[in-house]
Amino acid sequence: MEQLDGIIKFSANVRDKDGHIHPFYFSVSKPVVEDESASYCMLLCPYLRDQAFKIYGVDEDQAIELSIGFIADMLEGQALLDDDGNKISLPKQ
Amino acid sequence: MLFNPLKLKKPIGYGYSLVPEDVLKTKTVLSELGFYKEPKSGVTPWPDTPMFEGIETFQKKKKLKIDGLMKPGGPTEKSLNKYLGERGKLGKKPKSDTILAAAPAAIPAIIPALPSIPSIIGAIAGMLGLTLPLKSDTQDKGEDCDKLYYDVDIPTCRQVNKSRGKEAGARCYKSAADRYAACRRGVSKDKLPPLDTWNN
Repeated sequence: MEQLDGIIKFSANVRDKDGHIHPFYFSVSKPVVEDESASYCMLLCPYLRDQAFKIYGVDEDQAIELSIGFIADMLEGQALLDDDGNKISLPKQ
Repeated sequence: MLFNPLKLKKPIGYGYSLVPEDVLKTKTVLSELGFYKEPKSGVTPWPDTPMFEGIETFQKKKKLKIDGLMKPGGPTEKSLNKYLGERGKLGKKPKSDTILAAAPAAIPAIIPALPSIPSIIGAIAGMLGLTLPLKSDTQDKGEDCDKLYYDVDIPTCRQVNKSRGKEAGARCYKSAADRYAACRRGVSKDKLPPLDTWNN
């Protein structure tokens, strides 16, 4: 697995659809330009998946935007909470 | 020595694929040495920012390269084990006597009896009173989603970008990510949103 520096790191708790609380963490790597038609970020989010994986965009900015958007989509119907139980949002690009 | 030495299976660091057992051991050792503040939810096998910060703080204290990275057999792991050994020789007691503090010693005893990593994680989570999201049931479906995204949609979007321009390419990648997330959430293939390949 390639190693890439994380440029966005976020940790919180997540309340799932059944009301259970889980620790939540993700990091988005610095985008890699694969070629002129695709860039990607490595996304690490153990709550969703054991392994880091790539999310592609047409360029570096979109790769970051879509990586965070992917997390948001995957958390549909679930709430992010801070340590005091207050609802919080995912970071914006 | 109060604890088994840390023997990581894989590197611990941002951007690495982490082994939950390694994360749990690392957090517990860092916590006992005062470099990790246990969160209210308890020590978990999932990585969090305080764990990486704890590694960096330890590296700073020991004048190691400060990168939050700890490799199996690397300088940070060696230094942590040395520090752990020194504390053992000094007879310093663990800061807590909870079951969490005993986790590194308990884990090797659990592993041989369990058939798979998810089971190990489940056992650890059970010790900690946590409920983990089920992943194994959806693993096969996840592989199908990977194939659709990486082998079909992304190559298609590359071609769209080349033949129809960047705006069309961007829409295609956006729709591909939407489809991938929907697929991963369990939406059946015939109900996935369409891949936007048009120059509209």
